[in-house]
Amino acid sequence: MANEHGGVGGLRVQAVRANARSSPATALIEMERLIGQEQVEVIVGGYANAQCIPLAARMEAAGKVFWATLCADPGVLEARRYRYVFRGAPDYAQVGAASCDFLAAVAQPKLGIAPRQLRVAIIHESGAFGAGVAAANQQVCARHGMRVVLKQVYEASTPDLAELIVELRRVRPDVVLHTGYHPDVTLFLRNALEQNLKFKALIGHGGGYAELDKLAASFGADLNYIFNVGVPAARSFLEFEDAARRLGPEQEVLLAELRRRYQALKGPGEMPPQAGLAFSQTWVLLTDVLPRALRKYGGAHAAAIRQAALDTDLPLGAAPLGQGVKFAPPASPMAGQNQRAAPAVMQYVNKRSYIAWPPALASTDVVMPFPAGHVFAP
Amino acid sequence: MKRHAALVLVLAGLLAASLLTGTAHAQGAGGAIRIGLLYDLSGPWPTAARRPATWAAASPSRWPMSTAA
Repeated sequence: MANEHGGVGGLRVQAVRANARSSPATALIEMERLIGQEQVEVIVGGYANAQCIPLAARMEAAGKVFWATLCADPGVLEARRYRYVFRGAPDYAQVGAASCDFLAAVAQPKLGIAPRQLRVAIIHESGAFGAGVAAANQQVCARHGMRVVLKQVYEASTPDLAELIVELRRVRPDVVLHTGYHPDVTLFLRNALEQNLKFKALIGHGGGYAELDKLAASFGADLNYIFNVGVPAARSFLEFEDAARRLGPEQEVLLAELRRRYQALKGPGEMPPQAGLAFSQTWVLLTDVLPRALRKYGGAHAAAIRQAALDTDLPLGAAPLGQGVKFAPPASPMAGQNQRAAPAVMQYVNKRSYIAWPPALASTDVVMPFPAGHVFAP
Repeated sequence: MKRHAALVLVLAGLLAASLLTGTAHAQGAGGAIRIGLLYDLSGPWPTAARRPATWAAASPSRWPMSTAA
């Protein structure tokens, strides 16, 4: 797409591809090939943290730019003070913080409960994903003065979450904050339904909760009014005029074109959110960072790209999926992290994902608590 | 001494050449900016290995670290 728009500064963009095959060792070999044989100055990609952590360290040592597209574990960047590693996506800490900030804003007006009286239960799978999000949940909810009545971990491979449901019934939370993958999230919801668990709101954090189509197929209307925190998928903007209007007209056209091309390549069906995230960040690199590197810093070599990235200052709403972009400076403990990667809170209603928060992106009014008659309504 | 100076020159030349080559590659020998795209195909993701086989079979999910909806 960039080349169809005239390239970057009149130069064509040429992608040199490498497949990490979900193996950290292969990722490192391919990275060495890209910066050695292929002599690229910037690598875009990175998905699993097991790959991202060694990749980031090696790219930093080589003085080449690693433009990480997911790599959501805060530990990839935290306290590293890397100069050449940039991450545009929200990390686990930002995702975990968002649900508590959201609750702090809506608890009183929607639930009639002051944040200091709000009873919150945090449950999560035991991996870096669950533990990272849950740690931020606990820290930020506590900072808002909320009462964390339970923090419970479980193995993602567990065949049964009945005991966790018993514990939740005992502590009677107003809100459950849950972080898990696809099978365990499904298991939790199934066990909760079977054991008649009640609460006023349930907030998931990506992972299994991001798989709207699968959850809707399993739970139908019972999924209604459940929240999910993350970067909105393109469909959250394209399916709703209200949301699309929050973006600029150029972004709407861009997202529609992205979806069209994705479906032309992969067939019908929705683009996974990760694809949208990767697109959004690559678009920022090509349309904001590289032109500045060429214009202001004399080329597209790593040092120029790094300087240009540090200058990036896009307000919330400016990136294709509604994010802003401002990277933490080298002196920061989170150097290279996009400080404006603020995730949104989506609410599922009738198999659709509405943006409920922040208000700047919202396409629906928040429905909380579960309305009377809902299976989870107290 | 001469050998040492020659070596330094050779190294400096190599360094300059590599810098020039790097710049050319980055800025476009032939008018292109080359960008490495490192992606993952062919899974399974590491977390899938921790799940019971029956679940892995039942769930084609390969997006363990999504933060999006």
